[in-house]
Amino acid sequence: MVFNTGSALLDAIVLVVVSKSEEGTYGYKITQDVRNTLDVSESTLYPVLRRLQKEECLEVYDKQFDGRNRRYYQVTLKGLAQLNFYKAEWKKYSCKISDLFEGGDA
Amino acid sequence: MTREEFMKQLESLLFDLSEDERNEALQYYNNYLDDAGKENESDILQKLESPQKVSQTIHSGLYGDMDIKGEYGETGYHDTSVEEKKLPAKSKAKKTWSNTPLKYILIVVLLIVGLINFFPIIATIFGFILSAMIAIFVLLVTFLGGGFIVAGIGVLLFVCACFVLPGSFPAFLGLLGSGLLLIAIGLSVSILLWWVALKLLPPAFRWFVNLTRKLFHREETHI
Repeated sequence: MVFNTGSALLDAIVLVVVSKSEEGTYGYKITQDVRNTLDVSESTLYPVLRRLQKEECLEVYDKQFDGRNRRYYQVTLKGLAQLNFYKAEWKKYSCKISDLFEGGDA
Repeated sequence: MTREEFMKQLESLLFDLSEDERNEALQYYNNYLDDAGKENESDILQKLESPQKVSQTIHSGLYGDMDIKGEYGETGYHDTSVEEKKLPAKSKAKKTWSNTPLKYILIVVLLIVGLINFFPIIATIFGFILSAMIAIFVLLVTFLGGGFIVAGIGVLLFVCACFVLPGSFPAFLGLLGSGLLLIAIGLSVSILLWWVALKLLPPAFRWFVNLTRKLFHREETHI
């Protein structure tokens, strides 16, 4: 990993991954999905999920699976708004960097 | 480490969190390991590295983030306790090779000439200064010793005075007086000399060493 992923970007990534499932998804699956894209460690995402939950961008519910409890995360309306904000900011930011790299005329 | 061991250690490491917070975390990781499946359990435990590492991540996630303000940029969120800092390699200043061989030859020639001419004189001066310092040191020690000896004699006289007291009062006074006097003189001389030694000798040595350094230095930079 050449570039470090800031906490805001991590938030955005988690939000977008969780938003892809209508019924929500669970911790292990979220981590595996994120790891398809980013090289994060197995323990990186718990603090992110916890924080997003406290900020009410994610909500949780428990569902029985295989005779045990499984905690599902879902994006709230506030979380979606936050995600859209991140997407817009990312677009601006990455375009600026790309322009710089490609030597675009200012 | 077994899963039970791991989770038990993690639980104790999270002692400072609120019960809710602690239970949330433990539940998350228990679910995580369950979802991974028994066959992946040891693999995941290995990837989690240690209960300490997991606890660290949880703690910094709860508190550390408040320290990071606006760090969503190029540098982003650092888990500095984990990442090794990549420092830029120190660029070594390249020595300019122009003139250096010539310089060295000149230095050597001058050194030889200088040494042949100056060495005897310098050696003599050196020796003189060194012996002077040694002499002073020896004198100091002698006086110090002398001071204590005088004080010691004074103590003896004092003791004798006490013995003589029953017999003759004048004698007692005489011995007492001179004894105390000697003690006073001896002690004050010693203390004075100690003070001189402690205050003056180290700077003197330092001066001497600097002088030495300067002499040798000057010979080398005589270009």
